[in-house]
Amino acid sequence: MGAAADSQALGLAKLTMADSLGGSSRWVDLDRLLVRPGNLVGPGFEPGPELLESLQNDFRVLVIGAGGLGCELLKDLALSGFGLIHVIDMDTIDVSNLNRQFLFRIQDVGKPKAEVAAARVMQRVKGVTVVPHFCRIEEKDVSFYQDFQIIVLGLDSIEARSYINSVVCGFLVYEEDGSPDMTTIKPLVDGGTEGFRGHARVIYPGLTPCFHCSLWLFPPQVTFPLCTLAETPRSPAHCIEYAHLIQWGQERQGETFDADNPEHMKWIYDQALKRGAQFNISGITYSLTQGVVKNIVPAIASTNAIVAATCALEILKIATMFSTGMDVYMQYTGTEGIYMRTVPHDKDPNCTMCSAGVPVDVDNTITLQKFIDQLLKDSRFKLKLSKPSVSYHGTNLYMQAPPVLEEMTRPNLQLPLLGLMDGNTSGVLNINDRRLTGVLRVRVTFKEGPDSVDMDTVGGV
Amino acid sequence: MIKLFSVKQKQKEDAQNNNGRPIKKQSAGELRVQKDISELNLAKTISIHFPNGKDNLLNFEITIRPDEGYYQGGTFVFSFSISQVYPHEAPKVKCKTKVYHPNIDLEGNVCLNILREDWKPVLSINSIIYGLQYLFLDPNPDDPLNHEAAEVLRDNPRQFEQSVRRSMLGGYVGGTHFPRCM
Repeated sequence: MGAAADSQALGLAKLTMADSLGGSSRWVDLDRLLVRPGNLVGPGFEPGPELLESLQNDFRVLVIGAGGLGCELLKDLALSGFGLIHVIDMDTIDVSNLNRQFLFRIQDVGKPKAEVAAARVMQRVKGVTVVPHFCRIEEKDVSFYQDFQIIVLGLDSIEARSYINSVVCGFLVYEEDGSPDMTTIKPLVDGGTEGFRGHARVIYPGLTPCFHCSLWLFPPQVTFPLCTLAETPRSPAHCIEYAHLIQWGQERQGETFDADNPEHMKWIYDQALKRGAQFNISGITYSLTQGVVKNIVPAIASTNAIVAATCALEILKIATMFSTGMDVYMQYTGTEGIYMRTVPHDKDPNCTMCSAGVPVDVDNTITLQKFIDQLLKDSRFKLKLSKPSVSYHGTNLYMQAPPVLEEMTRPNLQLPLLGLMDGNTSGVLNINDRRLTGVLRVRVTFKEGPDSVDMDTVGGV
Repeated sequence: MIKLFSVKQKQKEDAQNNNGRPIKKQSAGELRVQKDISELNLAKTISIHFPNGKDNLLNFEITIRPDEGYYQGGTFVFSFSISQVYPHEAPKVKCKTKVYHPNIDLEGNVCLNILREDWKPVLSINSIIYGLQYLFLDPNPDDPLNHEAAEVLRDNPRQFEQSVRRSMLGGYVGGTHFPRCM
């Protein structure tokens, strides 16, 4: 058998697969992955034509962000067979986006990114439905996010990622034995790019580290001392930040600075130029001003393409199990050559967002004071608690300090804990204490009190 | 990697919370500030006020009444604004009281290293309060936001002391009027 015969065999195989699906060769590349078994597949992989059908008909994927990563993600997912994709973005199209956000054209400048992106993808890819949402992620009710099987992030800030992470970790429910309830795990794929660098990661809340577990990996933000800005500026950025942080407050009182307002940005630029001239600092440009004020790093199309493709591939794997998934965090650096590295991370067992919490059973008539007493006697918390403060989600049930809050929350000590927890028979309480380094999450389950047996009457009357 | 979706069972994922009640989302910043506030160790010269009630700990005011030094007897109010990603970002602190001080300008910006370049997530609200107290006990003319006040402190401490007194009593210093804060 020679090469010719092999390729002939392949060609025949191609024809057979295409034929078996009613003659369509459009998805033949996906078929190679989804229709037949293999050696590098994920756990529980069930090959067959139903997989592609389920991608097209049953899956709902949410793409957050329709910018550099978002455009690439929409293209990749639509071409990978996903039939229903939603996209959410609060921004409108700017001319500076056009070098890489390829779903937009010059005549689209000013229009909402989500809407234009959705329309263009549906135009180009037959059969896909893309639903746009032109609003902030915080404006959507939490139940909106619950509707999707997979959420993928093409965001540009820590705050936004932190918000979505808290929403998705909020869906997570733990069983009595401390293991996560699988039906409440909503996988999150997070991509990020900055110039020549990027990352992609897969988050299964409750199993892999959530965004908050590894928040400490981010380096501290670059800030300049205010007095350096005021007295001894040395760089163009110092001049710009002086105008932004100090001069604006002095000379345009009452006006909130809006980084997206070109007049405001131009004012900052003009003031920065004057200051630069005063201190003999050159190099202040309008685009540097925008960069320093809005923390923008110039974006590169290839980085977005690489990171988005990695994310889309992981989404396909999560949906179909056709290959082993990323474990769990991929870093890409393209500054000198192309370098990619994938590292496993451990979940933080005490993470305030996604950890199970230590299980504690309590009598359903217990008061908050008695609950605190019970915690102090619990051998698992020996030496860790001295004067614990207790919070339930957003409500502070009892605060040991400062005196004004202690007074305000003292009446709660005599109230039944079940009522303070809105009648929920189980829930997570946050315990704070001077002796703890972080917060202690406690998963409370209310049980019926023991049947009281009057020892005097047993065996008597 | 785990298998979450099974096609053969045609399982449409409708993940529900067990109790179904809407749960108020708490950000990482809110959780960490809960810890900081519950462990506050306030000296008797410091008091705290929560304008939005006991459950909104992201915005509060700290009042400092120095009992020694140039600013003895004055009352100075600082507003704290905590972000959703605290402690990754330092709290934003502004002085709401107009004060004649080398390290605090007339708009209320405070030049304190731990609020900017020396902020570390391991620091807390307590650390910032100590830092603010220190500003009143030991104003630093070498790191000024108010250059004129810094010069006076450096060259003529007696005059500085008098100017501070005058500003706290509600008078003029160098053409600027200061409302009374004693």
